[in-house]
Amino acid sequence: MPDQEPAETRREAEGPGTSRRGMLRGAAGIGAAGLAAGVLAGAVAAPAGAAVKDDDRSAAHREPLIAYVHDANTGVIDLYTGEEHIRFTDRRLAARFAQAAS
Amino acid sequence: MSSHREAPGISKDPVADSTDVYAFVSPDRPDYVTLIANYVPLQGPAGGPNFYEFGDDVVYQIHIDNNGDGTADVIYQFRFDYNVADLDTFLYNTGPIESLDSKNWNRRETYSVVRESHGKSEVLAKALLCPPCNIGPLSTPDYPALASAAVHDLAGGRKVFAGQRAEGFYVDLGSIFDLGDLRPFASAHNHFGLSKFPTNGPGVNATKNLNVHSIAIQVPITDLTDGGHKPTGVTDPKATIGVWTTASRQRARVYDTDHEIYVNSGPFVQVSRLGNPLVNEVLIPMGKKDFWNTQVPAHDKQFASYIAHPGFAELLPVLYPGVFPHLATLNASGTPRADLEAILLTGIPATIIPGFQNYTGATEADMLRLNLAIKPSKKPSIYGILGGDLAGFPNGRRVSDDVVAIELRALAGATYALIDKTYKPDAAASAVTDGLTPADLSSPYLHAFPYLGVPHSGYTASSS
Repeated sequence: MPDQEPAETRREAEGPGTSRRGMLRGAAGIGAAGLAAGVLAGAVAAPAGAAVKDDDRSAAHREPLIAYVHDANTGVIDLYTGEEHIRFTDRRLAARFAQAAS
Repeated sequence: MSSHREAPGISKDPVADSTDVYAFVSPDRPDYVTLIANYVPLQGPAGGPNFYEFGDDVVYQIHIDNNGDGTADVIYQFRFDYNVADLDTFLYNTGPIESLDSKNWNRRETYSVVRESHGKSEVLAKALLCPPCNIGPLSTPDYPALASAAVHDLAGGRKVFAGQRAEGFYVDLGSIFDLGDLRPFASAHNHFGLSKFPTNGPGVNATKNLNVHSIAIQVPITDLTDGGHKPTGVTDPKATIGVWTTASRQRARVYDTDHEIYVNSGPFVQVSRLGNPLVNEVLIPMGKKDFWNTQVPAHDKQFASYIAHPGFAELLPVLYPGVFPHLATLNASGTPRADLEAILLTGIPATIIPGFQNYTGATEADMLRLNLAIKPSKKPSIYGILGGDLAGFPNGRRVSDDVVAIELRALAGATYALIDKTYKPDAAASAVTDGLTPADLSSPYLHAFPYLGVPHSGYTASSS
């Protein structure tokens, strides 16, 4: 349903004063680490089998990352960043989440 | 109504809740089409100090299908942002707002407009100002002037406006949702054995002093048609467009307590849509309403049975015993309501009404269909085509059209005779109404863009 997906994804330039989007952007760099740093290391690195350094992580992700464990039993995890959705399977990571939540 | 709080999910998300869509050839500029999508329903005008605004985390779109497949060929997209000049005051304004650049106005909303067609995007405007809400005679002393200043001219004679307006949709919500006891016919209602209404009465407009937020754009007809075609006549197969609106939100949301903000992430997904009035409100069952809001019109075949066999038509003979005997017989026959399918899902073919068609093909899709070759009416009827006025609903929809009465009458069987000449509608079918007209609005429509009336001010509406 391509017409449902808004094509315009850029952000508007800031006007004077304080806008909520500006606050969001300011928080985004921190948010990437603050909200999902633990997710990022396991989620991105584990499927590829490669390590991700902290420096690489901060450079690559200025937007917040939100992870959702869709199914802990099968290891299906949804990752949301920017206007992207990435679904992947990582049973070990899902199990770690489940363990952390228990 | 017509789509205010029409589904359980969206009723909890007012800034994304589409309430009405209008599409009509502009009466004062007949080479231009006006498209209006309303959001943020049932606003009490005094609702401060955080007055109403569009969502900066919502993507609003008006879609146009110009080849009958139920998918968009042209999209107008609107995204909003706001700025707060002084975070240390609780006030929306710190003195009279006498112009859009007033330093007394603390919280402004701006927006961008993007036109998309077949994968190509064009930024039509950005950082356009919305007007403030209409607060009262001290805060917004000349509101019509403020609103006029927020009508922005775009290239090519196009105009755009986004902001608060008086609710122009008149409806007796109180009677309709009280088990359908339409006041003009209340004595004929079955009363469920309670004998509450011995006499009939006039309708009561539930939206009389309420506001709404409108996104309105006026563009040349050729901006909307297939290949920029200028319609040659009513039967021109390229003369009819389908129109609907949507609101979309990002899939994931977390409240970040460190920064005290909501963080949204992921792709935008559709949470609200609206084409023809009352479809999701009245015809789609409770269990499907939220799902319906996520779908594109191209997929509406899955909902066609709810149009062809409307539950509301089944209710009328029960609620008004003896008043709708022919409708009761039609209901009992199980015959699909081809009239409603034509009006709401495919458009009306050329053979049904002399001099008219807005058929877009076999694809069943809930879109507001507008034949652009029909000129604006010099003597509009609020009953649109049922009133002999081919420029009104269900040929598009004008702000003044009485879509409640039109759809009530259609559901009651008034339009079934168009496709079955042997059917005789009940006498009440062409008279049923909630008893309201535009005279029941306290802020009249405008004669020019954006057509919907000056919003009610918090001060005056709360004292009237």
